[in-house]
Amino acid sequence: MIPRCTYTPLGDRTVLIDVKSGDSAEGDSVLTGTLADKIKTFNLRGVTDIVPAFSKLAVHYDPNDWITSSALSPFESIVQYLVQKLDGAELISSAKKPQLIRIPVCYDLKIGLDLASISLTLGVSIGDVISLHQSVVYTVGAIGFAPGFAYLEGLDSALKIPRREMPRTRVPSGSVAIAGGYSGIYPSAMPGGWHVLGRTRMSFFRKQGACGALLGVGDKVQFEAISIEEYDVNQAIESDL
Amino acid sequence: MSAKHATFIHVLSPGVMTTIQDRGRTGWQDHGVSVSGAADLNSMVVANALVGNKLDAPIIEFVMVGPTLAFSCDCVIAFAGADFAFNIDGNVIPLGRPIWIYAGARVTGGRSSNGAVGYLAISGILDIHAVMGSVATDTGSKFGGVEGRPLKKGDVLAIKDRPDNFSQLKRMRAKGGQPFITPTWSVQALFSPRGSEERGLRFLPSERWMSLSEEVRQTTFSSTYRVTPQSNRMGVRLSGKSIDMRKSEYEPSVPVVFGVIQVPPSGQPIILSVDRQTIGGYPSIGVVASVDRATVVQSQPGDGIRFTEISVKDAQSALIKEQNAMAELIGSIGQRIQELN
Repeated sequence: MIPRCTYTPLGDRTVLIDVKSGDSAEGDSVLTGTLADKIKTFNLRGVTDIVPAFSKLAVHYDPNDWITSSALSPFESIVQYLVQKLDGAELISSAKKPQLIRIPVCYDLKIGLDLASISLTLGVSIGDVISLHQSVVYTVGAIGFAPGFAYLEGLDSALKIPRREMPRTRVPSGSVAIAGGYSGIYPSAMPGGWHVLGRTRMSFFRKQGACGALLGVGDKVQFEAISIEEYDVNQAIESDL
Repeated sequence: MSAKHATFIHVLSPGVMTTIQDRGRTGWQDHGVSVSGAADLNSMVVANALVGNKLDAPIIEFVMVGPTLAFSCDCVIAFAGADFAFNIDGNVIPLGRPIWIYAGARVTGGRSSNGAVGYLAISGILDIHAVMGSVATDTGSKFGGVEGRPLKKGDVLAIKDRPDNFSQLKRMRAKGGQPFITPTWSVQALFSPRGSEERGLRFLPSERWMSLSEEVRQTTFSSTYRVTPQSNRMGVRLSGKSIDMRKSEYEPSVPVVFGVIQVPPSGQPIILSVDRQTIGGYPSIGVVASVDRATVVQSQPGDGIRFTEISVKDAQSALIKEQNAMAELIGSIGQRIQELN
């Protein structure tokens, strides 16, 4: 798949790439994530961060490393280089297949804090909310809001709901939630306004050792219901955040 | 001053938002990790250079009100950035110089007068555990620095690997009789936050900005925006003529950087600062030029800001010029430090 990219300056130290797939069956996020991985392999000088989000990709660079003898500005130099390197690049065929991560979720009413209220608001039974939430394979569209927090695209339209009017001051770590047409997982306890359907014991972000986020843009995610007993005995390591 | 004795700094009063910072936690934004780091990077670099440290060594940053600290051993310290009128027993410590202070010295900060953020560098290495390659305090995610939070009363910081330098100051110390020892020169004359009433802020316009009507843009250019007290390390919040971004379809979040000027539905702009998240959902009129970073972070509540446009070409050549000037300044500080050894 050949992406069609446009390049604009996001300030004087970042190139913002707008990634358009056009003919692709895959969502833009898969292509954006693949493109980010591809650009990482270039080991561009002065580049500190390559940040994909949905159909946009930011390349953070030091203009000092892109001064050339030509009349080109550092922005023009790095864009010219990227265009050359990416010209006609067949991305999907050369990239690793996006990983599919299965996430065990306990949708028990004791920890699915908003199951009852969502059911009322949307006019969908609690059982249907739970099965609709598991019915699709999600694509990670972006990582942000907090370390390791993934915005998952693909939520069934019957579950589309705005954020809670009153955000919680503390959403428990591992909470699986929905809002604004996305599903997401809170990697640690924090304030938040999404509707909580259940909880998982999987760890999504580590700040020590093999640190970083478990999920990356373009990854595939599926939720699988587990009972409260399985949730309790699940020995997965808690996030160290 | 011997390298063998550990030095401890006791926090007697924490000031406001006093944190450990460095250049920031780069390389992890695709994991959703904020960059954080020193708000005024140039002031951080100058302070570290003045005590002979590596330029990105861990440093103490404070906002609006400075901390009061007690030192267990003789130390060489330096202040840069905004003026917090730091003093020892009422004797004001000048900015922009290496200062030899005595064991037991109590260094007291006041309110900042000409900017919002200040820096204290201490010769040696602040013993702070790095998280993902940086000691920068990220209070949102609660990591880096001391337990991922601002310093509080009772905290004790350790300095390790104290170099045995500044022997000229040590010689002067033997004479005694002064609250602290310092050379007569200062770099503050060469470098200080711009402290004018109304500051021009150059920004690189976004496509969204270019699509707004001429009238909206002219109104924005001719208006003064005031910095509000709600400003913090996440963002500098402005109040003034509302900017009408026109209603649009739901827009997914996009990557953001330092200086992005977001306009939420209220029409009141927010300039994203060092503790910004990695992506953001509000539309933006553009990004502040890097050379105006100090103007953004040093602005105090009530300060006036006027927006003007700049091209990426001009912003980058101004930035490179500034980086060259900084390199020259650091070089000359290095020479002066050498003379004190």
